[in-house]
Amino acid sequence: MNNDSESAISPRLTENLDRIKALYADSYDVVFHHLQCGEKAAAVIYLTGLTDSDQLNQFVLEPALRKMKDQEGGLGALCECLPVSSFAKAATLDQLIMEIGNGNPVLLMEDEDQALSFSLAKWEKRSITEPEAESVVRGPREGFVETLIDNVSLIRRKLKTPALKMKSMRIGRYSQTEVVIAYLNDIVDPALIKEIEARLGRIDVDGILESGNIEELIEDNPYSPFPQMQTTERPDVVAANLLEGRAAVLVEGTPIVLVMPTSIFTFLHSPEDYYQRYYIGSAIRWLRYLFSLIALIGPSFYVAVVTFHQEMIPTTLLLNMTKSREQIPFPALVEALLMEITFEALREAGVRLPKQIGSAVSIVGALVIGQAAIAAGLVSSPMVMVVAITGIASFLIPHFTLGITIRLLRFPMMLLAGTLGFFGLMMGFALILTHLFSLRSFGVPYTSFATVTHWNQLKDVSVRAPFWKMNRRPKTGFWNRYRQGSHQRPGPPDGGNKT
Amino acid sequence: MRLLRKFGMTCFLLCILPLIGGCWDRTEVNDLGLIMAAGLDLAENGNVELSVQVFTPNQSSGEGGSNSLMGGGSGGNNSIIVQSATGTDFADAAAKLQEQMPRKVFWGHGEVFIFGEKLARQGILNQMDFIFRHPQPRERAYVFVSKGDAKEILKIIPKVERDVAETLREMAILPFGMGVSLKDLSEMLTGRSKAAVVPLVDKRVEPEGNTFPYITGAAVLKDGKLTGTFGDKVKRETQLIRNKLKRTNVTFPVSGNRGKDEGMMTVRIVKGRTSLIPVIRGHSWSIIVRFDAEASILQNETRVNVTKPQELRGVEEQLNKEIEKRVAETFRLIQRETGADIFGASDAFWRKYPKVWLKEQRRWDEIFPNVNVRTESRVKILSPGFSGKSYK
Repeated sequence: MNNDSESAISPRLTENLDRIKALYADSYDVVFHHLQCGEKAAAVIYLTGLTDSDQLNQFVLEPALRKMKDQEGGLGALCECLPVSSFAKAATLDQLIMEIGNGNPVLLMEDEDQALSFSLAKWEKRSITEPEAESVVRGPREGFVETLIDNVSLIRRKLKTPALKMKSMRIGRYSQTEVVIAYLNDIVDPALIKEIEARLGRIDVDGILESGNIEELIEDNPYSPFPQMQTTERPDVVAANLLEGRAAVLVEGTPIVLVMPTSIFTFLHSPEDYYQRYYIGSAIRWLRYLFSLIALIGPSFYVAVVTFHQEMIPTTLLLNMTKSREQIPFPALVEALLMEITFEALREAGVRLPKQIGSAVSIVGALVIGQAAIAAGLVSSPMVMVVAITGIASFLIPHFTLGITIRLLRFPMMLLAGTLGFFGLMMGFALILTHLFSLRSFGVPYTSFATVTHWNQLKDVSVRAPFWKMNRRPKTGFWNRYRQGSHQRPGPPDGGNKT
Repeated sequence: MRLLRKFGMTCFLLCILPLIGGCWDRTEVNDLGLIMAAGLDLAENGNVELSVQVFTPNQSSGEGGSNSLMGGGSGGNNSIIVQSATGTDFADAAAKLQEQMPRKVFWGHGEVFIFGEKLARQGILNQMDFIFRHPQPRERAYVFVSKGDAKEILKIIPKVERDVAETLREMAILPFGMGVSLKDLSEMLTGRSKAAVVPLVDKRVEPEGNTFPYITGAAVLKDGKLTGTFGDKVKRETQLIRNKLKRTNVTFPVSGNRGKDEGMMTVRIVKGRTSLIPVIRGHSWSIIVRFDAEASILQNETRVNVTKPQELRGVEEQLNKEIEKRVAETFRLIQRETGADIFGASDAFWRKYPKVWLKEQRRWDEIFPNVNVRTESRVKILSPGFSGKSYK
């Protein structure tokens, strides 16, 4: 950064303009508009695409030209007669450049060592739509958009307390991306905020284009395959997390918000668990736990059993399996890898293609995988079933980031199972578990809810306890422990004793 | 930097090392010769003939396996073949069998072992050693002794179940089936009495051409040698004394008030429980077999009004007398014919008189045939069934 003497705005207008022009050389979208403001020369500088030029004309230029015609006085007088709600004074050239970059027009005047910037930025943006990656049957339909200020307002609308803090900072040498740390002052651990600020502060990169860039630069274990921050595009999820003492990092230009710290169970929970009745929420959670296990070890378990532990298969099933494997030229491991890789390829093809063509892919996939592969004698029918169930299981994981991790880990597990049988499977499983237990997310153990002995912590992991049971916050903090009054359990008047 | 790369390379090689070694041991299911059942017979010169039922996947689905999508067709009877090999003992015969087969012999799914009558008379302990020492055969597999050659039983193609192994296994599970697993057998043979009872299986040919194996009775083994085979009734009564009979049907004659035989009645016995109560008085050893159960009437051919409790008491008495008679007969028959304590009487004596037992256990084989037996049946008829008076 420049030092003050270089950066300060000089009272001579032309000098300032020359310096800014030099900075913005070869930029056709920067407009320098000269005007005579009363007796003084002035200039308005803005970026055409980012500034609302109508409002600029109506509320800045017109009053400046008309009212200042016969008046003396500089910026102070001008400020008083401008019908613009939000403007700021800038004293340095760097501030000026930043305002211009944000789309705010700035006004420089002869003999003034300050400049005015008006909040008249306006650009094309997407309207708020339903989040596609995290859809729910019951729950709010709004999702974050690419505009930071809209995202901030979405959270503000859910949490109206002044305790909701939004700390802003800029990251990226060239992109100068605005990043906001959101948290609830009374609930969050101040050390966590300090840690987040420190980690964000040491980022020194060219540009931040998505929150994924930030995630990779601030996570605890950069080599882990597991996501260490929750990502969401739902304001209600962020609000719920803030209420539980976590913090969120919003990044300009992406609808994906980071929430930290997190545990592995968060990735297996869906916001809808909290909106449906708690029996359903609990049952579906267990279903997810079971199927995420299947997604991880389904094919490897099958491979291990078929190649090493045939005595484990019920006799009748084994007879049928022997029959269907009779014509298969490959070992079960190769068969499994073949099918799994094909399945992953089909899934990837379906994701990247436009929706209309995507359905064609699934038809081809169903035919190729389901029928033709068996008919051609490449794979056996039990294997197709195992792969199909595993595929379904991996889609049951509500958060894509964990789902893709588990899908990836499935392959080394298959190799282990196909070469060492259950021994290998257990080895891989132990390895993953050890890693999970050693992992931390912003200092909080990744499996924290599974390891604490207190039942209170398990209420929201082993089941989804009813709200009137969850009086304490799940976080580790020792202050502001109770999130609601006791006796929240509803019931008929007189406790139902009325006869 | 170079050191780091070397270290990384070593780590990588170490990581893939198990992967390289492991593939060596894998066996695909279609490389296995699945043994469903095995039978052992005595061959010439004291050799042993091992016959096995091997599962052969249906070759008809070979044209492309389109029907393997449907589950490989139904488990047709033709997918089982019987193959035999002769050797000096079980292990030798098994090795010879492996030489005959392109696939790896796999005992893990063999659920039935049948010993031929002749071999059983000579002794099965030596052959059982192989079954227990080999890692694959299951202790849960059922053991049978066949009337005649075991091979003949294995060759049967039953109509109802998939194969003989499945038929026998299902029959053994039934309450009157007297299922004896390898584990049970070894426990009996190594127990205090060194006597065992194993279901006796025979082949039955119906005139219509339906052939099936069935359990005809009980085979009694003493010191691993077959000492006697008995019929259906003895089998049931033996099960009763061994406290293995929870439910059964008993048909008995009922005589009326004027001493006139009024006809037969059948009751269904449930919650059967037998206890052996040993008594030693001086040199006389005796045992009381007590049977407690509840019963309900299943068929009434007499004029007894079973809905009246006072009339039922008389029936109950006659039922108990009948059971006591049959049980005592069976006990004495086994005592006389085999001298094998298959009822666990030795355990009962050992529990109650451990010191006397310790002194006398060597003489048990002499004592047992002379043990006095008294039976006490206490069956209560609780229900007349779903009907009232009889039609008479």
